[in-house]
Amino acid sequence: MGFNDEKRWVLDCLSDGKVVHEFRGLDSDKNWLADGRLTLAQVISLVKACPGKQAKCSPHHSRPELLIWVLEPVAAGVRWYLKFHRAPGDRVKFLPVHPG
Amino acid sequence: MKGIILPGEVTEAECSRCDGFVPATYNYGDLELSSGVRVSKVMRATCDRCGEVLEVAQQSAHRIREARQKSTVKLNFRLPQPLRDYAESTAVAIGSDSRGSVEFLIRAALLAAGRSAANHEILVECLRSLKDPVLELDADAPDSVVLTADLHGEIQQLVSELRGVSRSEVLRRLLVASAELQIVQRELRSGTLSKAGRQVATAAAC
Repeated sequence: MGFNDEKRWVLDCLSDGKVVHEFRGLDSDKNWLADGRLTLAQVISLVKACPGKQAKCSPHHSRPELLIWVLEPVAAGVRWYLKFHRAPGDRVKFLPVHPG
Repeated sequence: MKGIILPGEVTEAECSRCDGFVPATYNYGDLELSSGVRVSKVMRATCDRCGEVLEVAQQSAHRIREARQKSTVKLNFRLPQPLRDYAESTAVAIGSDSRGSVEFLIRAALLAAGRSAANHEILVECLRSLKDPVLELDADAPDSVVLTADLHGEIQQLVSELRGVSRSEVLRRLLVASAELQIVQRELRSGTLSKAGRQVATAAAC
């Protein structure tokens, strides 16, 4: 599946609130969506602003069929870092979501 | 109720303790953030094998935000007396009290940075390139600031982005930056700072 398909899918998940977050002590500086500093609408804007050349994917280290996507959109002069993959229940699972 | 996860829903997630993907079950419970802040009634999935928390549902993000805003962290640091003089005279000039002026200015800078990612970047660049003779003086005056966990998170973010700069030095640079940056000056003139101060006071009282 290419980036455009994945982008449509993740935007649908965000619009429907079908979103979960990885928890590793939930480092408060690393996931701005999980701790409420960013809203779903703001992340939707970031994903929409991301062209294919600022997105890449690689297989998960222990489950190669699972693709880990990294988006680095630039919005208002700030580069963002978003990492996610698909999770059960047709949900998107975010790992870090932060600027810089 | 699109997107709402109900207690008992089973998922599959990676568990670092069990070293692989494991079944995990969603339920309400407490969550302890890396900052030490505890949040109650969070919808989170725990590993069915070891009980480790593996995932948090988006529906609990607002609870995490509120808990971060309510809890406080006290930071001790030292600063040169001329820098404290600047903080006190600035606070008095805008009609505030000289007592707690250091905290007042630092909160203003952090609040301004938290308003938007663009503001955050402006502050980071300013702190990174800041050169001022006052920063070369001996930091011989002890002080402390009480920040909400939210603002403390901003400090941690700044320390991690300004590699090699200590937290105390970041606090001192924030005071100097408060004199130079329009985004901080706007914050100082707005009424939101006193609201943030009240939040800190309320949280400290609790």
